Amino acid sequence: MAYRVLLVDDSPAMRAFIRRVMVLSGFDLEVCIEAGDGAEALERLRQEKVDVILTDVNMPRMDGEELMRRLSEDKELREIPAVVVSTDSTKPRILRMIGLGAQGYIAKPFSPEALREALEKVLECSA
Amino acid sequence: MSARLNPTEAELAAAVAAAASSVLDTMFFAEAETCPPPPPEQQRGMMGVSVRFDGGVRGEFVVAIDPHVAVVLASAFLGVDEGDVSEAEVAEVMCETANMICGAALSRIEAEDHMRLETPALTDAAAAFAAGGFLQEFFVTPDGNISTGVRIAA
Repeated sequence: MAYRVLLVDDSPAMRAFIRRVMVLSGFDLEVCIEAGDGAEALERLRQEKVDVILTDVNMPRMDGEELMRRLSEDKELREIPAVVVSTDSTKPRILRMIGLGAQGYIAKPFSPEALREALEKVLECSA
Repeated sequence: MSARLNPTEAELAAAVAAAASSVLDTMFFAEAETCPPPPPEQQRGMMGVSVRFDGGVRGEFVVAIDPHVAVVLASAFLGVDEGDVSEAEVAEVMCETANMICGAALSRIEAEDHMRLETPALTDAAAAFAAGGFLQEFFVTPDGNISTGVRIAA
């Protein structure tokens, strides 16, 4: 089964890297929809159906933490599994994001295999 | 609010070296080894990025990258030929590089504490290092030199 991914990161370069690594790792990607921050992510989610959300934390306008909070308050959107990708791998940050509903957490730097495994794991759990 | 951490120079140096090596290897498929400070003429004209941070420790992280290395890294990161990478893309990838090395190093030092990184910005690395107070580390890659500096605020 091919998956629809919403990729949320304020850096176009990082989005390009993650998009490429998803394909290189062998992850079965149908389409990668992109958003530059949490607010744009919510707009895209009103227009498109996705199987999993991959989000950065530090972003302008609406960060990943606020995005996770908004998702958790929405009956439909909270069913979509979310994986956080961040340079911040401190325990308080990870616990806070898990507490807000994140089902996976990937610390940068990460290998292509780690990204694929994290995505496949949350998709399996939500199936 | 938690008390400020006070890492030793050895802890900082080890954290930055491990973080830089991990970021360059994992995200850029580039080999980098620590090395002694290169001659001053090799440290001129480096591209610099600064990241200020706060949390368990507060301060500034600066990375200085040989312009050719910056193009090679941006090319590897974006998966395009070196000749097709724009200056803006090189700058953006270098900002991401600084952000990742800084974040990974701080996560090693303050794993149990809160951390906040400001948006990375291009800077004059030579001027920053000349102002003093930075603990510097030097790395050599097959394509040129990279150096980092971290300064902890009192």
